[in-house]
Amino acid sequence: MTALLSARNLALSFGGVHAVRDVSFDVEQGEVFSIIGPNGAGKTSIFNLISRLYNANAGELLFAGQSILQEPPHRIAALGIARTFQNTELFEHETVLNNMLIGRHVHRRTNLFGEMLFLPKVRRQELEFRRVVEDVIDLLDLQSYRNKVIGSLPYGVRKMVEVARALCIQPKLLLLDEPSSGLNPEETEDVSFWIEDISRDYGATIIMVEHDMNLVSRASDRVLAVADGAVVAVGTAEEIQNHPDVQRAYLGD
Amino acid sequence: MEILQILISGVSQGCVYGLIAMGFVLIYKATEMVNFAQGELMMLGAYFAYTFINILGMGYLFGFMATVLSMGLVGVVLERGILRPMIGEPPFAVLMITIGLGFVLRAIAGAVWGTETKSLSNPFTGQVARVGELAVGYENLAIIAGTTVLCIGFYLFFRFTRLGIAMQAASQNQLAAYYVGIPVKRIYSLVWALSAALAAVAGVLVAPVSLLEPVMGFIGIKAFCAAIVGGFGSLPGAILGGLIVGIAEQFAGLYLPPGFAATTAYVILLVMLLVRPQGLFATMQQKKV
Repeated sequence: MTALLSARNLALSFGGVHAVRDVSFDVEQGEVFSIIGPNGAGKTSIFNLISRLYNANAGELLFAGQSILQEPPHRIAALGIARTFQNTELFEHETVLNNMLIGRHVHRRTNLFGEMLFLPKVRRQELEFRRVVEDVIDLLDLQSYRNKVIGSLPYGVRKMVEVARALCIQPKLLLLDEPSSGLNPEETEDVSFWIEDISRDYGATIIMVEHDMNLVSRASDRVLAVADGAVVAVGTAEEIQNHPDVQRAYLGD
Repeated sequence: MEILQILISGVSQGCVYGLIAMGFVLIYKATEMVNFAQGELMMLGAYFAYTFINILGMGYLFGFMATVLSMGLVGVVLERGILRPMIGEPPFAVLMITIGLGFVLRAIAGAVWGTETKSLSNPFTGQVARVGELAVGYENLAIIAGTTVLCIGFYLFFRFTRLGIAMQAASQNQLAAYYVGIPVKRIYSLVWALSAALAAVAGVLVAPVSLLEPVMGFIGIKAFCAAIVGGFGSLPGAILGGLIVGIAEQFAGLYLPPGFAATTAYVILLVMLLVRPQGLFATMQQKKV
């Protein structure tokens, strides 16, 4: 089986600061892969490299066998990669429904004039989009928020809406940046359930950056530990937690 | 009857302000830049039309279309060449650039077409529609009809089309727009194209009622007032603001001593800023940190 995503010797530096150095890993099709590490270890930098927000200084990044290091950020969704942000990036003045519908942007196949006249083809497409959106709403239990404006929603719900929008893209690979940050323990527990649901129902491969070790052990198939921008170890959550180098990275000698 | 007559010429004048104001709003909403050369883009559009129609002898309709398309191109070139390199610079610097751009465009127009006034040949000259005692020039009707069609077109565009929705998305949240697959930078270019094309339409429509001269773009300052009155982030607000300023100006010309009409736009602006600073259609909200 070939890896869905493989990073080969990725490196990124900002001036003299080496945020990511010589990082290599493979993410298999269908798995839930977590990236952990102390603050400033380079987790989010790796994420931003995959989503093409940053340009790598060296290395290679293959998605489904194709190099994506030359792709601009707006092409990522069309390739089948969706992401969320640690502090959520939503269209604040729009409803939950509109935020999700725009997730279908890359799947829109109609032309300008047909759209302005709202031809039957456009109507059929809108109905199909709406079905995709409703499925995601059911999966993530967002029914009661459908027509609420984002600005009026509590933080936990916003984080869910962002995940919902990412799912509307119907991605092959879903990148979750700290899905539990800012959530209470109960909400965090829910996160592990919906990660399982997404992985099962949508067949999406998931990479997440996460601090909460409980969530990481419950949800992930494999874990990558990074420190100071470099890979410390890869393995199951249990192996990683008991790995002497990982303990050293977190606690010091 | 006289009041109705004044009202109609106010509406027609207001439509022109509204069209230019919409150009301000489009660019502001998408890129958070204020383009103070919007009035000059209108002036340039009018001269382009003069070139196509009077000098090259294209028909009015073809000349109109050629003007709109070529001004759209001018918009893209301005965005790519001048504004995009300014991304990340302080807003004040960008503001100065657009003010400077206005001066440059005026100078270019003066150099190319001369500073003496010109008139655009058009199919409306001297024709008047009469309903009872009411007499309305065709050129005024053309302004009102053109603006109405554009407003409906814009409504449909932003409400239903992939591109229109992408423009709104890019203006609300760049990062989020990128990751649903919207090419934000290309969208910015298109916004400038749209805004310049809109200014061109205003220029062609206004040319039959006011003569062409390099300083005709100063009307942009009044349109700027109209945009603020409307709420500066709202397209319907821009049109409404334009209509208010246009109509008030005409009535001030009739009922107030001479000279007051020219100040109406600024008086309305001052009153608005005192009473309701966020404008009629408040869309500007404080950004949360």
